[in-house]
Amino acid sequence: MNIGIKILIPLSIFILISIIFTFFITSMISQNIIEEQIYSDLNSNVESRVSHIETILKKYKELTETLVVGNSLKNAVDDSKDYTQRIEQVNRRINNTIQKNEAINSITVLNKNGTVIASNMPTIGCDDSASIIFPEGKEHSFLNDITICNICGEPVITASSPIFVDGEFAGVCVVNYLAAKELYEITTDTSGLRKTGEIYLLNKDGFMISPSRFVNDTVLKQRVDVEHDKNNDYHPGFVESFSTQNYLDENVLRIHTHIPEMKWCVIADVSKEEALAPIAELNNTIFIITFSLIIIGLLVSIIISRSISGPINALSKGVSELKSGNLDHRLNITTGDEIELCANEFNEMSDKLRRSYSELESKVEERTKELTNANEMLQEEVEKQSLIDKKLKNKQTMDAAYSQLLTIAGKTIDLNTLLDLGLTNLMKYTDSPLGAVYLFDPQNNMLVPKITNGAMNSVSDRKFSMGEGIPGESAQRKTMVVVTDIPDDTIFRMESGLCESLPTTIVSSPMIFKDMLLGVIVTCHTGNITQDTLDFMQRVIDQFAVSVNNANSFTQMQVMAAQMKNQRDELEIQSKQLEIASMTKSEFLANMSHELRTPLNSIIGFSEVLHDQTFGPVNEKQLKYINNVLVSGKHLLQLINDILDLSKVEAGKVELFYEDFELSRVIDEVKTLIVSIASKKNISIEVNIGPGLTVLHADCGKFKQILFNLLSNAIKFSPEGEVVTVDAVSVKDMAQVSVTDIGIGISKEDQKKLFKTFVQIDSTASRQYEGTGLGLALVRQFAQLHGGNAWVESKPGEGSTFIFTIPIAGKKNIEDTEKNIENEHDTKESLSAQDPVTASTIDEIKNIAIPDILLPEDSTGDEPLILVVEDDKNSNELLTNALTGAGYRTISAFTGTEAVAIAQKIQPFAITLDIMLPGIDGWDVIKYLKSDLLTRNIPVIVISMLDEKECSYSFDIVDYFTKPVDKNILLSTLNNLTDSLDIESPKVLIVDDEPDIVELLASMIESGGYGIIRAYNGQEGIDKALDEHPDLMILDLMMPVINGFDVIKKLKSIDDTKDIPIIVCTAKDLTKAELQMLTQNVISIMQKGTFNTVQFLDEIDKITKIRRK
Amino acid sequence: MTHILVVEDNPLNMELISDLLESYGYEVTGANDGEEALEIISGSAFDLILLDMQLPKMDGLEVLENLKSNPATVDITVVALTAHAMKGDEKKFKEAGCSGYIPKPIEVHKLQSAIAQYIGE
Repeated sequence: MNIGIKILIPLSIFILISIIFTFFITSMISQNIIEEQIYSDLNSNVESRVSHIETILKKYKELTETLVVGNSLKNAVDDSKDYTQRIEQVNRRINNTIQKNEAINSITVLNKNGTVIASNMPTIGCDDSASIIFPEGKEHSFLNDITICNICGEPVITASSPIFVDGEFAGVCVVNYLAAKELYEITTDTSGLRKTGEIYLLNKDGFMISPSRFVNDTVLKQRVDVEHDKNNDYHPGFVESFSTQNYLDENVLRIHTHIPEMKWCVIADVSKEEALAPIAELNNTIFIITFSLIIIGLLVSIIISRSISGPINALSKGVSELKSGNLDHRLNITTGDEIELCANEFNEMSDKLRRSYSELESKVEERTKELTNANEMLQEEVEKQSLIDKKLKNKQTMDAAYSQLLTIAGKTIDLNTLLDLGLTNLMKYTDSPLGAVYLFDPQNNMLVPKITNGAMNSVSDRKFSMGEGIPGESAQRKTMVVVTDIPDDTIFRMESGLCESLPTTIVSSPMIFKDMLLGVIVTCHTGNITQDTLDFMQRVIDQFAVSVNNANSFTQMQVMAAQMKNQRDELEIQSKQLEIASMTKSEFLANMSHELRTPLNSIIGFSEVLHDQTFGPVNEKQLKYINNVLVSGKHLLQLINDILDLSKVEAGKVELFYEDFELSRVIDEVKTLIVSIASKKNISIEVNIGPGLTVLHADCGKFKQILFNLLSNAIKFSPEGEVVTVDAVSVKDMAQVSVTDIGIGISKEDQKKLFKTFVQIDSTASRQYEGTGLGLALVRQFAQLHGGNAWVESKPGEGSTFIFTIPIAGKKNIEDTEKNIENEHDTKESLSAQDPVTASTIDEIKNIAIPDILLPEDSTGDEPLILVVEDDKNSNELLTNALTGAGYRTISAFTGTEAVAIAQKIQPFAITLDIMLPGIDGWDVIKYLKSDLLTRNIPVIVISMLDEKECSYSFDIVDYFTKPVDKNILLSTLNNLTDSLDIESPKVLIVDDEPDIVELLASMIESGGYGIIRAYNGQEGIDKALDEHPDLMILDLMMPVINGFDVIKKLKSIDDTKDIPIIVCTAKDLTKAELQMLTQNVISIMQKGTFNTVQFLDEIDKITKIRRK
Repeated sequence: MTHILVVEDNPLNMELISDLLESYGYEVTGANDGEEALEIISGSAFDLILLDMQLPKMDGLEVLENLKSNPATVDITVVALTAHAMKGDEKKFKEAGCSGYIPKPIEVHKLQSAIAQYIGE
């Protein structure tokens, strides 16, 4: 921004504003003053006129009033007066009055009805009652507003006054005054109004009622808008002065006042223009002055600004000259002020600059020379550096190539892909048109071409042996070979279109991994190979070797994995086969058990019968022979049992049946069993039981077996008359039982053989005592199964102590016991694979003929009848004989179907039942019998060939019901039982885990007079059975944790409770296995082979007693 | 009278065979093991030896060897009594010098004719 402008503009603006402002103020003020003056003049003008008008109006009114008080008018309206006279009189008066007053237009006399009776106008007889005059004029004097007379057409103002005759209204006198005469004279007087002023009157409707000065014919025609009087107040004293526009749209200054009496507005207008004319002149003068002042002011501003900006410009110019390098430029400013000073300084500065500049120039020249030299040297350096850079770039390319190859090696595990990609890339980076990869075949010691690129068939077909050719040489030497002297017959030729060409260099590099030759890579080149490239190739190929090795390993791994999978598949098949074999083995064992024992039964049984001479006497020899047979038979049985036991143990088929038993009691039992053998040698058995050993939780049967075996051995090897001791102590958590004899002892050597199968130390002795050599092996097996062990401590000549340990608490708990039950179920279910009773069977049953009943000697015909169910004819005969011999009647059935049919038809007293029957097996027979009302109550004795060595048996009648229970059936069964037990008010223990069922059953039988004990789970059932000794139990089989089977087993093992009859309740049909379970524990089981007639008969007797009572 | 030696360790078997042979009219001597047998043989003359091949102390084959290596006894007919009845056994016994074998359990009805046959030889 220019300094000049900077000064000029503000200055001018200021001047301008001041002047204009002043101008306007002056103008305004003067205008106001003049206006005031005019208003004042006008106002006084109007005032005087208004009072004049009012005077006139008053005069008119008074005149009229005067008239009406005159007699003439009074008489005129007085009808009592003579008409003509009064008319004449009034007329005269009228005329008189008119003559005297110029202003009067007409005088009319109206009678009280409003009819014109006298007038100077020809209106006599007209009815003017309607016109406003009449009604208004009735009461009092009235001045009507100016109207146009309809007769003369002139504006008139009407005054009226009532005529009273004798105080009564008689008529009205109406006088019309011409407004123009007097009124208008006032309003149209132009004095004081100059040229453009006027005064006029408006009536209440806003119409002009006095003529306008400028416009013709405005009376009662021209409406003037007087906004300022909207109130219509017309109060006296109302005066307004203002500027407005008149009816001619001219700007006027106005005085507005009223004549309240007539509701007239009095307007005095003066043309604003005219009024303010003087102002205008003034304004003009002022304007001219102002204008001149402005011009002068501007000029002055310009000069001032110039005077300042000029020198400054010069200064600025000087600086820019300096800037452009003109050091000679000098300023010439003589303003005498600071700027001059500045300019002088500037000039001095320029001088100085010029001097220093020239100094500088010389210095610069020097420097430049130096720089040029330095630059030349730098150039040389740069050239050197770029050479090094090139080399580096090369190397980088190599590195990139190397890492790319590494990436390929890393990604690929497939040998072919690896070699292919690798070779391609290698050839690319080394600019080789021909390459080949050879793999080393160690078996044939040959290099075999695997991948070729850019080569002819001659290459891909040609193998090299070690040392042969270029590849062979590098392979043998295990080093890179670079050949530049190419033999003519080389197979490494490049084909290009029609001709072949030889490479200039062939490089052959061996792939070595951990000193092992994997192969050789050959590349051919057409140019020179730098050492860098060779180094690069070596690195790459080394890496390659690693990858190739990996690929090879991988391939090997794949092969191995496939092999392993095959092996695994084979193993699976084998294990499946083994499983099948194992299963078969169990079945086999079970079958063999049966098969082996059946004939033995005959051998032993019949021999016994003969021996007992039941059917006749035998001689000494015969008796001896029979005894031989018997002894051999029993021995054989023992062998078979032992073998089967051992087989089972070895096949893992032995399950331990855990229960709680009293150690002392069991030892006593075994002692009892062995006492007969012991007494033959006069050997006594001493038993010592240590403190704290009362109850053992283990397989009782096996325990007894072990002890029995050891005791019989001890007796065998003890000299006569000696003592065999049994000591039982607790060692940590084991019960340790030792059997000591004072026999011949056992050498260390023999001790080793002891527990092995079939090895006997002294076969003579053992033969004599019919040992089998299995005993000790079994002893150890059984002990170890429990988690214990068996061993011997002995010195030759000092006797032997056989020791075995059994955990006191047992390894397993109740859950395992249940598992045992399950397992037993499984085993036994698989054994009995026969069909249950089918419809056809039922038909069969119906059709079976009843065989003969065999009678005992001297039969009375009403002995109890026993149905013997046994498919083996011989065994059947044995049993039958035994029974008839004891005085029972017998009838035989050989199949399950027969058994059911006979039972149904003749309802025997009891049934002996072989489980292994053809057709429907024993379990089905039981089930069938129990489900039939006719037969459910017949006691059944199961005679089983299954492998049960239980020596103890209990015998109770068992029924089982299916829920929902029929009350009557239940009661009748109970009654039967209790009748036989002869108890007055029997207590019944109900055990069921559903409280509702307990209540239901209780309610059913309470009415029968039974006392009820309730238990809601197995444990409670057992506890209450022990505590309260019920006479009967109703037991639910299916309960959680401890189920019905457990309860039965438990109760049967305790002396106090084992004889309580149990009725079993179940919500579902029992399976064969479950029935088996049940009947094992609850129904007498006797084993063929150890068949003891006496015992058997005892059992039958028991039933009789129970039933008979 | 034909004299037969029965070498058998099981007394019941011994009794059976002895009684049977006696019932056939032969003279029977029993030995319970190999040692005893050899002792008895050295003292008496026998027409036939029935030898149980499974003996305690001295095994049947040992006895046989003994007999066959002794010129005094080499000619005595020896018949093996065996429960083995396995394939290689017959051959083994024959090679050891047995003229034949009688399997156990003994078929009582066939015994007489078998013995007669061996005596006849």
